[in-house]
Amino acid sequence: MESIFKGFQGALGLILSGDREVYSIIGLSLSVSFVSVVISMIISLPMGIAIGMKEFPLRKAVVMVINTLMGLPPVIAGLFVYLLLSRSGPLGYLGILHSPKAMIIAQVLLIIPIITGITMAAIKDRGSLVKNTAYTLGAGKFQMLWTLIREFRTSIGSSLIAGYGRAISEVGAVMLVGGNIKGYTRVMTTAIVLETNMGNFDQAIAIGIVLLTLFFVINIFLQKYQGA
Amino acid sequence: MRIQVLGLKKEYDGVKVLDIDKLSFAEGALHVVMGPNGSGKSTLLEIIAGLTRPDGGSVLYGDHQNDFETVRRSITLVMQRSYLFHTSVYNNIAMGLKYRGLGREELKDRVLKCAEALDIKRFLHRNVRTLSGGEKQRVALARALALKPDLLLLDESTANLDPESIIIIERVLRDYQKESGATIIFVTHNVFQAKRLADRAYLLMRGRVIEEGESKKFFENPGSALAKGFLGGEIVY
Repeated sequence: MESIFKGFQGALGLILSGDREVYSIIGLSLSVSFVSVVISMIISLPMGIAIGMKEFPLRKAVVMVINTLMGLPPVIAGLFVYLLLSRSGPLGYLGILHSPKAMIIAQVLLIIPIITGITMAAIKDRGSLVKNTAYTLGAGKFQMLWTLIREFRTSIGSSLIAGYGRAISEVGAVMLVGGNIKGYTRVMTTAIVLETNMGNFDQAIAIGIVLLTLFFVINIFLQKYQGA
Repeated sequence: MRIQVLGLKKEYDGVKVLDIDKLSFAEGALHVVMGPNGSGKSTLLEIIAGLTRPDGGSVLYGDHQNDFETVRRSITLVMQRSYLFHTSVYNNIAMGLKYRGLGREELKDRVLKCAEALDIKRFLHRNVRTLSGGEKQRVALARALALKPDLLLLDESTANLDPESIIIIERVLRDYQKESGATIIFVTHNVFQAKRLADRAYLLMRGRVIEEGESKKFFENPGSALAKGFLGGEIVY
């Protein structure tokens, strides 16, 4: 009990004193997750809209695969990216294993099914109606796409926030492909694991507090978006 | 805009819903298409509006023949339960004008004129979620009229509405048709409404045109027994 209390005391000290290491870890976590969500959004939104609205052969199978991948264990995504990027892998020549780029690739793999799945489910029922209405009002292709995004902004916003939450809380994949290198690929989750193993509870708790606070802020956004 | 329908065919799941050899809608008239449920009225409008592809045949649009893309922005459709975007009444009416890149002043002018005609000016800044069914349909019609279409298609657009909304919509449609010389095709299964509105009327059954003609002759002296039965209130299909 005493160690927990001391841990909290030390953690607050680290946060309030602006500890450089703690804040660089937080900064890297936020930026890697942000870039991952942006890349995933660019890929997933058109994909979710297309799958949600169009009838095509094997549609059911595609939906099933996406739903399965929504629950993809992060270590499997990490393992897959690791094998791709390792020196003997097909993309080994890029030399980006154990770098933030590798972490972004792994997170993108994890987030794409989430944003695609939520967008697809939201658009399935009313998407055609929105599209037809925009079409009869003279919208061009991009105007129709923009109208769909606007009309389903609540669900799409929720999917982006859910994706960000998944990315920033993820530990297995970024540990595998990032390598948890101090000052380079160490993010909040991997730092918590490391510091706990080393008995540095104050640092682990400090980062844990920030991570929890971040989730709290994300949830506030989510609830505001959904009008809850 | 004159519309000609030639050899139009459409099936859904092997069931024939439309099979029209030849049908034409003259320019600058208010045409009313009637028929029981499942007669192909809505499918016909959807094909003319470019929302549904026919299995065979074609639609010729004025001088542009079957080049739909050229005339697409001169045509608009108001559905039975029109979808309104999740925004204010003003933004809904303005949406099609924004797609066309209209300047702010002209856009505002057109929105206000249409809103006034349909008696919805007082709630221009309300979110559409707060409107009644009749008010929503008036917003949908205002949105369509703001585009000044040469061809206005309406699919059961006054079904299940309050009498006030029906009176306003019918008055505005007649006024618009007279002022603009546009072609209007109005689908309904309400014979009384058809009598009030039609310059020319058409009766569809099982995807075929059973009767067509100038309003007075159509309603007072229909040629076919099926048309006589339908107009006389019998259950025919």
